[in-house]
Amino acid sequence: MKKLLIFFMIFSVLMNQGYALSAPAGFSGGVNNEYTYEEMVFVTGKPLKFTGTVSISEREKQDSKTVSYSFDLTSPDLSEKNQLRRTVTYVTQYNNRNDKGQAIAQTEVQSYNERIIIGRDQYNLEDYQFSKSDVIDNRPASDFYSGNFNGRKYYTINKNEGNVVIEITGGDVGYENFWGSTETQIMVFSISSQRYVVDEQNNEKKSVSWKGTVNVQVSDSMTKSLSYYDNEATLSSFNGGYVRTTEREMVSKYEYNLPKMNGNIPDGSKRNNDSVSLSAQMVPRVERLIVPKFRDVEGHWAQDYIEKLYSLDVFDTSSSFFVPEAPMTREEFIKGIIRACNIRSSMDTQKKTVTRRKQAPEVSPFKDVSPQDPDYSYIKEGLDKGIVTGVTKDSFKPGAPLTRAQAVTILVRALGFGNKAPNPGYQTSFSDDDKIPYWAKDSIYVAREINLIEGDSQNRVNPNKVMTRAEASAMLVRFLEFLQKDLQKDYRENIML
Amino acid sequence: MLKKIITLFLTAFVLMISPGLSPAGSYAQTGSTLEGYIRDISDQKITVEEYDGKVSTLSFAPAAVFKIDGIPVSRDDFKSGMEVYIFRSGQNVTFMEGYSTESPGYIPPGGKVRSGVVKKIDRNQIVIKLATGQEETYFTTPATIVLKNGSNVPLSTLYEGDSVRLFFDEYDSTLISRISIQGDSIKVKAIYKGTLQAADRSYGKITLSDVKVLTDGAWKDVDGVAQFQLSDEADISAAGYEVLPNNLKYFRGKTAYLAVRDFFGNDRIYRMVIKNQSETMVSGKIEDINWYFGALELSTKQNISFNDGTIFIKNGRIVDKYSINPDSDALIVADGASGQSTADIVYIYDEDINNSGISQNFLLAGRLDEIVENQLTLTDFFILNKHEWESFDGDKKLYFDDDTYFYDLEDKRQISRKEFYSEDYAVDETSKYAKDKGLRDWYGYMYTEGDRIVAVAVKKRMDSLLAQRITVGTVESVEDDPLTGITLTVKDARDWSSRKDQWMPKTQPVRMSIDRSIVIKENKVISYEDIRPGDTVYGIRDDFYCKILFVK
Repeated sequence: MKKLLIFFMIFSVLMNQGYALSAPAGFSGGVNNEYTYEEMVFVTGKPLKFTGTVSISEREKQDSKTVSYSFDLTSPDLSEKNQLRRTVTYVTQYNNRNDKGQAIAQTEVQSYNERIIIGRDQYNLEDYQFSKSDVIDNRPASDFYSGNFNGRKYYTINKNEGNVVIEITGGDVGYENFWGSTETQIMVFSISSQRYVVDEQNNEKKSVSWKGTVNVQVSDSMTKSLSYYDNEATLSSFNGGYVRTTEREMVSKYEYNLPKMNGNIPDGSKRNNDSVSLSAQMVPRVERLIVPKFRDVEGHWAQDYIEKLYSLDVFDTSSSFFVPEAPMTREEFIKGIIRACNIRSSMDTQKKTVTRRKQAPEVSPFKDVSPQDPDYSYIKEGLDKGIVTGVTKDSFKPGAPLTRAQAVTILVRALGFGNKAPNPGYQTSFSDDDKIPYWAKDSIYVAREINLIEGDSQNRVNPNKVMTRAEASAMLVRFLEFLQKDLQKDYRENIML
Repeated sequence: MLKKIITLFLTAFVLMISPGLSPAGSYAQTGSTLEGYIRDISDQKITVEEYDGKVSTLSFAPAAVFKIDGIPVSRDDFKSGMEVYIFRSGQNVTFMEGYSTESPGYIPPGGKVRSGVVKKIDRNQIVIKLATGQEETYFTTPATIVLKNGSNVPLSTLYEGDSVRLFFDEYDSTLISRISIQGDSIKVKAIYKGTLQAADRSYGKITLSDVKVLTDGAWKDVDGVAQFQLSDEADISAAGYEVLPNNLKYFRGKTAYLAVRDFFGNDRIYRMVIKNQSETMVSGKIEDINWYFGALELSTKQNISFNDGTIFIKNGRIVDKYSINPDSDALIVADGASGQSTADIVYIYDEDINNSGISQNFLLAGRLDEIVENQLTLTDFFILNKHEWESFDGDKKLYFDDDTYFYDLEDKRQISRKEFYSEDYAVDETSKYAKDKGLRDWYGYMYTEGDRIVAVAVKKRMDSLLAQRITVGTVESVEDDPLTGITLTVKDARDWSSRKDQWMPKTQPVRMSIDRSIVIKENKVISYEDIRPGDTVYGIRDDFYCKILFVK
């Protein structure tokens, strides 16, 4: 019974999980919201739009994931009795390379069934080959992935009147973190069709063929944002508060080069070059956050940043005073980044799995941080994930003030972007480059490149300046914006627009 | 050696003053140094062969600092054979730095990226405004690759107001190796106005009632009620002040102007201005700009101020206020009362063959005096200069090649280079051969890039250039009319007036036949089938018949 229960827990089927993951449904360039799905179909040589529903089910095992799609589509113009029914199941096997913090995902098609009825013609999918491989780089604050795929669909026309072959090549890029996820697929469909038609002049069968290409870009993006809402009532214990809104949107663009068709026959050498865009938006989900009530941040330049972080439980102080001009400590900042990014705590998982087993008492890697310290788990997590190191091998100095160089290094390490710096032997563009500690140089270079930081009026980065709690809050909020918006723009707008 | 010691001391100093993230803390300041090759290394010991051949075996101090090329590393990163610099205290290594990097400062090609909006183009110099608001200047070279919608295009297609990504091959280079230009989605698709009914924060949508669109210089009804999505970068202002989305609810019932772009088939708001007082629409030439007071002086001597909320549109793109110049013709939607007006929208009409200072394209017309294998001599020719044909006496040599597009307007067919130079398009009119056959030189329109002909269209008789008009506007539709052939309908059209020296807006769409036109886009001749609604066009027409059409 217990095993059965575990089986059902592991094989939980997620039907139409709107916000479960950002990945376009199937590899057809279609878009969907909670209710409708639409895609373009090119098997006839003409671009035809189909709309309807898609149901998605996912099953996850430890090292594999099975995703099944079931499409039931018709022509939006109900007078044209076109119909598309497709079910397809993809299985992804994960080869986790924990030593490198990466995984290789190999996807194959497990089963398929597709039938398209357009006018009096019926297109049956006889064979579908598909191979996809992704590399996933698991970094503390976000996972990044990129992959390639190839496939071929072989349709028969009215059983024996001809065939349409669609070769699919392409790739995908994506990221996934607590604040957002985007997957953008870039595909090329190379279509070739050969069919027999009856020549109206001599009533003889003749073979007609055509070729076409369709460049498809489709992106599924989820992002969370924080917005302040005033309290409409004035006689309330608080003036307003933050709402975390989760939005998900799919956009798609088909650029096609097809023959101009006259019925089933291409019209000479004339071509039909154009593009079609589709988009679908899901209903945003809102989460009200706790209301900040600090007495000393009203009117402060960093009020907005501080209150956002407090609403997110990044600062869990119960004091009414935030003291924005006091120095930020190393301990508070590492705790802040882990909480703000919702970095998954391996310690929590460990605790759950071994609660009933007798375990050796926890030994702190640092002599100045006790395992009983309420923030011990954050420091340990930061150390395990490579976000932070001790001041010496066995000392962390949790209460020491945080410098800008340290803060930037923590953020860039959380992103896993340290290796994006040039080979050693370079200078950053800041005028005080010579003051940057050697261990922070790569991070400061990268942070400048990705617009996490900028120089002051004299183009100084001031790496050894102690950060106030206000300045650290502003930097953390900018980091969250990077995860929310900058990544989305880079993975969607910069590729597709 | 001295340099390394200085580096060592500097590093030690920084480590002392900064309780940072160093993998290990400070190391002993006293001791000696040695340099050489690692012979053998293990967790506890290292054997080093010094440059003079002396071999030393040392242990590692518990707090030893390890670096390779200035980067903090662990002991495991060192390999036998590596050159190292060691600071030792007795028999213990307290600091060890290895050297490995072959190409200091190397980044992969395109490894440095800048994204922003083009603020200024001046020959090979491009100023971009980054998302942070900073402005940076970069330079193009003849080797700079330019991509738009994934296709390679000439650099001359770049406009001020374009959104670009610049790629560099060296971390400290300002020479652009590749430019990726955002496609036509950057263009303002429409300008709407309506009464603000609702602003929904969760969806990021606003609802307008009594919605109108600016077409052909007037507001035309679109819909009773319509919803528009705000983009992430949407700027909203009222009376020159920024309006936060949270405060939009306070403007319910006010008139709003929206500049929208296309986002995958949907309108998306990029700029929005709330009308403050009463609207006046003015069309005219900007004679002067007072940057200090923020005011435009029109040729009618009317002064209209502008502010940070004013929407400036030029070449169909939202641009920075500093991108507008005196002598521009504009349609201004002004907001004010009692003779004091502030511009909410400044829509610059100007279009030219060349998009910016980068382009060196010309349109010429004249008699084909002599044609040889790759060279054409024009005589008594005209150059289209500031939308007017300017005549020149004398000859002009132009060059062509196999990539040049040759078109015979009489036969309505494309001809080859060989036909162009071997047929009788240019003859010696005084020769017996010409006289016997009654041959005369032909005339042609030549579109050139410098002195190279991109496209040439020839005909037997010269058109009356004086009768020609230059019309610019936005394509509304392209249709194959059974009576007039391929016909273009252009909205927001304006004709160039030589007498007034300005663009004269039309209140009705203009139809023109492009059946016998040369259509040019991105320095290439294209088919009429490649013209899309929404494209900006610049046409040289003889009444209904367009001769040359530039798709911008």
